[in-house]
Amino acid sequence: MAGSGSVHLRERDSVLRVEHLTVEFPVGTSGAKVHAVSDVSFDIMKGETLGVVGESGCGKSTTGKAIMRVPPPTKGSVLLEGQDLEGLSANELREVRGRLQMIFQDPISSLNPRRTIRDIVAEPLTVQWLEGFPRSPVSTAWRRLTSAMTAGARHPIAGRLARVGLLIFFIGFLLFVASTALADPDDFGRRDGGGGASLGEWIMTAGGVVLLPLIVVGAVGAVLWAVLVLLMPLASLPRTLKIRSQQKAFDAETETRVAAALEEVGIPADLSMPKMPHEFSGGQAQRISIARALILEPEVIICDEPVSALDVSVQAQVLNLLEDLKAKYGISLMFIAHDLAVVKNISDRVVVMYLGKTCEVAAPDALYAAPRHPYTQVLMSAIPVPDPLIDPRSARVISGELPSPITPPSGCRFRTRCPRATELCTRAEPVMTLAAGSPGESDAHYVACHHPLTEEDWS
Amino acid sequence: MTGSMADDVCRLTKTPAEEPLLSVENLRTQFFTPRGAVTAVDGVSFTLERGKTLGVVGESGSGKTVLSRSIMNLLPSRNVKRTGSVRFDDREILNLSDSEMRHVWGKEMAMVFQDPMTSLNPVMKVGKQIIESLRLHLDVSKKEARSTGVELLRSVNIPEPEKRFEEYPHQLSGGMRQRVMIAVALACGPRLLFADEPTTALDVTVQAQILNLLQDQQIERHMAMILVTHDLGVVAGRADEIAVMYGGRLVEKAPTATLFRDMKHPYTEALLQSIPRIENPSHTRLKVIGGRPPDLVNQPKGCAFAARCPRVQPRCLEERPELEPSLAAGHSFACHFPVESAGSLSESSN
Repeated sequence: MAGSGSVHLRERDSVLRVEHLTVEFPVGTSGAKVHAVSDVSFDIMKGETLGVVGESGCGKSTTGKAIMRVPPPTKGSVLLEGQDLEGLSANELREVRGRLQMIFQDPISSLNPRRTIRDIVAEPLTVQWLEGFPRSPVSTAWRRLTSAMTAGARHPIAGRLARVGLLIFFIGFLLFVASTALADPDDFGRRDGGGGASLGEWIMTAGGVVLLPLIVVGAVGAVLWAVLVLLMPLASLPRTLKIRSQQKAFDAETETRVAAALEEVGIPADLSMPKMPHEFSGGQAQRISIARALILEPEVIICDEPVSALDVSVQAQVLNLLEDLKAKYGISLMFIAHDLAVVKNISDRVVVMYLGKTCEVAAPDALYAAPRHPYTQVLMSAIPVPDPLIDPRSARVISGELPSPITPPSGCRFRTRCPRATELCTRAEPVMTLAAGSPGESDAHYVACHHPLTEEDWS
Repeated sequence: MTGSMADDVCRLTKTPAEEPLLSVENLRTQFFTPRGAVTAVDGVSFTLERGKTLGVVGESGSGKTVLSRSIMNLLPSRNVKRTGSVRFDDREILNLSDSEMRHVWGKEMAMVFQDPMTSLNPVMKVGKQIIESLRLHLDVSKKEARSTGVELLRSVNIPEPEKRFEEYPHQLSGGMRQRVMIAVALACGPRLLFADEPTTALDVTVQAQILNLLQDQQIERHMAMILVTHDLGVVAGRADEIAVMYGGRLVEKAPTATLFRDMKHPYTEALLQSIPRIENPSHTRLKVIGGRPPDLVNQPKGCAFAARCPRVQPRCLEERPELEPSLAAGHSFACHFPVESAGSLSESSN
């Protein structure tokens, strides 16, 4: 499954377009990496729901987070309505995140337990509103200085300089101490190291010279920082006063907008706004999360396993709610889940992922009727069927554990657990191609497999 | 399928089949809170034969977890009152003290919990957690316990059991941890296993593996199992009998095939219909149960489900229906106006 390639990207204008996204995390200092997401591409049209399905560890959540740039991807580009998110400043990114919202898996722990529902849902509005008041030059300078100092301290050159300087200094110090200790004491019991000691002193001075730039920069930075911190309260006063004067109007407007958002997701606003998250059930908390994501009127909502922690009865409510909101506001959804039945119900297009790669991309009904990738079939047969006449033991249950993403298998990453794997799968990574017999255009069915399933496998 | 195989084993071992392994009568558990008494389990009665599986199904807050904990006496000691009778192997265990229960826990009945991360000790090697109960209940040496422990890990399909034996829970994946939990529960060969939502925290693929494993072990050890879940799909092919709980009471109880063929309670039907079915086309509107589970402090006078029931009649608000047997063998339900359709299965898949 190694599926790389991007033939399945569509030509039309997409709201969100992800190209060759790669996310890697370093492991220790040995240079090994976790290949969480490797060369994944997909696009989402306006008002479309893209389902992303796969086991835990397949990189589906990491993909969602990399789109939000928490953390940013290692390689690849994310385009929101044609705008590349790479290289945006923190302020620009904050503006973009208003159009790109996220809902998380655990509804209770994604709400701050010590704040009221009103504050939680209003927070995105507050952040955006405060963004509208320019900061005082002092506080801007303080922010810049702090981030520059942190970046400087973490810079590899600074680290190397410090290491070399300290090493030289320490060698000199050792030389000085050693030659002093070895020298014979004079009449008063004092020792003079002679040439060795003075050489040691010279070396220590040299070490000091190497360290000097760091010490100077650090000291100047610290003084500047202290001055700015002292000036800050005074300099920020005009901004604070301005915010205070507009606070009332903003609060009133926020109140109505929060109430509207809560009513929209089926939470009685008057009763709920002063309450705390722990007073709500999982399903209600998930609705509140949805209200928080909706309040900035986003174009895309990334739903990271929003129903996995919920009961089936509540799951149905949340799925229906997401469908309604999508129809009403034309929002695009990226719906991440591990249950193909849930994904099929809500999606217009489904991406199947395995160990950081895409396996198959298709419309949900086509995927169910004619799965091409062996892994898709495994996912499909693992869904528990509420029918006692179907023996759950007859399902194709996948054996074994997910291989390590630090050293993924060569060729197709699914080959270690695939019943159809051959020598070719070890050697070559399959590339995303149009599946045999699939219509082109919007309903096209793509698969990345050397030995895709055929008609006889579906019966 | 389980049933028939378990029956065979039953006959082979010549266990007196007439006397059930577990019989619960009119069990009621109350928690005393500042708001008032919460009746989490309210007059539940059932029996469980040796080697059989009972599926307990309900939403969160329906009392299914408290029911299994009440039977095992795993509830906090303060502000809790349990009444009724729990007979295990013809012995009353409801009033046993903790020290007496210690001979029952692990050895006679054991539990697999929902969240394998928080129910394993994070600072203890998994091997030690497995042999802990072996050393306590069975008089075995450390060496014997170790080899039994490794065997147990092997029997729950953990690859490289000797290596895993020396690892800590955080080094294992979620599915592996749940396997370790099962090994811990099986260590002393209990005759009754409680599986409290054993797969809710897991992926569908791992869920299938774990459920198959539980079933294999159950058949091999001729062990009875109470499988608690919110998903009717999980128990459909695996339980011999299903009990549906709502508001702390059993609202319907039937052999699995009977229940799915002819479900009578609107709540059971609603639970089944809220499951998204893979064979339905995309964007099929899901049927939902509106509203919320009842407040267990102030239970309504009539049927607890009345406020959310699509078939509600004035009588439902006044008079609480009792669990009464229907025409089919072993099938009972508590509803004044039961669902009459004979083909609830075909209807739900529309």
